[in-house]
Amino acid sequence: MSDNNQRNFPLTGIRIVDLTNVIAGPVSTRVLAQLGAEVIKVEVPWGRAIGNIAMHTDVPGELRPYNKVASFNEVNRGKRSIAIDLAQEEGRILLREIISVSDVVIENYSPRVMGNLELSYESLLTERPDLIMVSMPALGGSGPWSSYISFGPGTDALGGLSDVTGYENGPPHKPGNYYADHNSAFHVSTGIVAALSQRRRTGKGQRMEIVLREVTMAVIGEQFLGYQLSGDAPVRMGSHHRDAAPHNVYPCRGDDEWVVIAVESDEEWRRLCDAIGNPNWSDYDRFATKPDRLDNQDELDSRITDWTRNQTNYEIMHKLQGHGVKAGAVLKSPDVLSDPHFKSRGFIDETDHEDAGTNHHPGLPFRLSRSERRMGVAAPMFAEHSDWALAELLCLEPSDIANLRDKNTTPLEPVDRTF
Amino acid sequence: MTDTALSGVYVLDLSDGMSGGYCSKVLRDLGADVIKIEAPRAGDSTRGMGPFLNGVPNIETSATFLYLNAGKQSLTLNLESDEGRKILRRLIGNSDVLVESFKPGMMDALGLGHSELEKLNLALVTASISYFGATGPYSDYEGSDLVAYAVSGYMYLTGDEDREPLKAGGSQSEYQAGMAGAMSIMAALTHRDFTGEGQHIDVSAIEALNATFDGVGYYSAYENRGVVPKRAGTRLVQREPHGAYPSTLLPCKDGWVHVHYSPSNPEGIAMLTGDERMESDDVLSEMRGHADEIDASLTEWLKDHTREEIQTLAQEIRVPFTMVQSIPEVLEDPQNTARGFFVDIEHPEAGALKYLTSPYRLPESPWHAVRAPLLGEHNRDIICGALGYSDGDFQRLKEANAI
Repeated sequence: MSDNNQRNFPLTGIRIVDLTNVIAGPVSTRVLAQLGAEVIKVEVPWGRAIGNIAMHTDVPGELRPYNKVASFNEVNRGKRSIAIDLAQEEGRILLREIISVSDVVIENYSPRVMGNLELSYESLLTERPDLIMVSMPALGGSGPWSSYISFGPGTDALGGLSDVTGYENGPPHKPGNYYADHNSAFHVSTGIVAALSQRRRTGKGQRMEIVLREVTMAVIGEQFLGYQLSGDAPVRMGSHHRDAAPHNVYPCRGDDEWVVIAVESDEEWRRLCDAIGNPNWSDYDRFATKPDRLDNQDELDSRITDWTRNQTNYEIMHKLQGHGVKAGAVLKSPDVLSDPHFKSRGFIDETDHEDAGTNHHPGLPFRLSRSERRMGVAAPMFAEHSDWALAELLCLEPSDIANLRDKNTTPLEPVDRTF
Repeated sequence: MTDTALSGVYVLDLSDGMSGGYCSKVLRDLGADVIKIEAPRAGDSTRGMGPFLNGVPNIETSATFLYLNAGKQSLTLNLESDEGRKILRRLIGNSDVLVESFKPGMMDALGLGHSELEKLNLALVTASISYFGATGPYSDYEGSDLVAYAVSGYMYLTGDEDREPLKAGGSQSEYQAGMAGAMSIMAALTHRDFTGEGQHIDVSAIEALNATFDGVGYYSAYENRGVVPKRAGTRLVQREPHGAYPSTLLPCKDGWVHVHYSPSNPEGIAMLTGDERMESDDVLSEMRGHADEIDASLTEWLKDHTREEIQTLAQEIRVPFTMVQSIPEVLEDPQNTARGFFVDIEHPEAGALKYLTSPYRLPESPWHAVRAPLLGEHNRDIICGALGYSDGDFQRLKEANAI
């Protein structure tokens, strides 16, 4: 469609049918939409399925509250929307027709759902012999736990990441927020573009399964080999490092304000001492070499805290970086929004949405010198592209479209459904 | 040869450390040929990271190197020597992708910036991975995995509410930067397939971690409602009273489990615990608002059951509870065993170990187990074989410290 064809996006001309929900699947296709793919989000007819899980801005009594679900609007930027009732035979036929003119279909249902909807890969191949189909099961489509369900944080637990995250001597912990979901999203979007590149060469599509838990294990892969080689299971060590000190987060002036400092070599240590003003610690010798600093880490941390606690985190970051010491302020959401570095790189994506207003979102973490990125395009409103999909994409007659509307097969507003 | 997704894609990995290593590992897992270019003698810095065989430092037995570089070739090149740079330039002519992670500006200083290299190969895609990115007021700041957690905002969202922020386990900024590199390289290769032209990519690890907040309303919560998203222990950062709950870690008889509410069986927790309050409208209509009560009710039940019992009982009624497993446990669990996720690979110095396969085990692009290279193992193949230097030249390059 219009903006796709006229501009220099890497994935112009690729059409993706997105049947995914919650975070992992929608983020993977959001990335592809921002690289220029035409992503058609097929929504359930009764509203926005993500609603119960994440942050909202919707207020009862407002106009079209379903268009104001902040989380939905964030992970679906740049996509098109059609609502289809897949419980109806006509709805399933319609979806098959859309798939027949698409390159990729992606779903993150639990394993049996696609079969129940008569949308198995084998049956879709009759419509589109070179189709690429992606599923994202939590634990894998085979094996004794294949029927188990899990959300991202549960796969962190089962995959070992929670166990290596945590304070020293404390219990297992949770990294980030929906970390496993995002980690799998980028693996999925990368895999899709790779499969498309293979298809250009061979003409063959394929059915890809990318498993959330396996992606979690992949980003701690060194831990599995490290355990086998050394015989020691990894231990939780907070923000300390087994081979660097000082390496921690330190309190700064203000409420809940922090800075990290990461010193590895003795040379970096001397630069830190310079930056602090070469303090006359009576027992300075106890920190002279890396093994000394690792042995006396707690005292070292408390000395550094004495220095950090009366300055702001930004002051410390700039001062230490001026001496070539690795340091970083622990930024909060408003800090990132106003930070000159983030601003100058244009990382943060700003969207204007007819119902939800102006909002900011994380952008793409890379910039390409020749390809454009499709930033600044808001999420679609509910069923916003239904007319386009039926009339222009599928070339249906107006009478057929009217019939689909009458039966609520493809509603333009959410229809009632009790959960 | 079996076809793979990236058959015929040649990658030169000039990066040092984990981020570029993971980037080119993903490309290798998808079928690309990768040459890891390392500094002579010490090699890639991941060779010094360990953990090592029996805890003894050895550049050939570092877990971090062995994992990230399995299946790649190793070529040592001294880029500070004219001869070293000349060999690199010759390789560029036949390569599709170059990955590097020097501090921004360093490649230009070596005469190896993308604008120079594309004179040798217009189709070359160069990905530069750094912590702060190649532009902006902090682009010359020193970064590290820890610094990236902090500046990205990730750290403020990890840890207990009343304690200091916490980093994630492992080196997640490195992996996310590597992944953003692989994604953007695939986009650039697609652009190249249609236009014939390569390009330069600027990847920031800090941005890659911030990108993991998509869907959290990280900015809109603050801008629209004045709420600064903050770490919430093992619960999700969102804390509207009507939000779904639980999603947290709780202790049980033999360890910890991750408990999560079930969209398909909201009464499931009441069924497990026998606590009728857990299926009352009062609790179900405002789950996050009752988080402490839900935790207490669950903890009472969990303490009498093992992780495995809990997972089995809950999953039978479609309640997504999962075990917290340690690294040794994950290596041996029945799901990984049945799916063959770990495979034995023999290495001349590290011995036989169980390696992860890959998230990319695709029907049209099979994954092959190959060990990591010894330092400079492929020097002769590449320099004499592919580039056609003589044995005498090879000796001379060694003596001149170019390789």
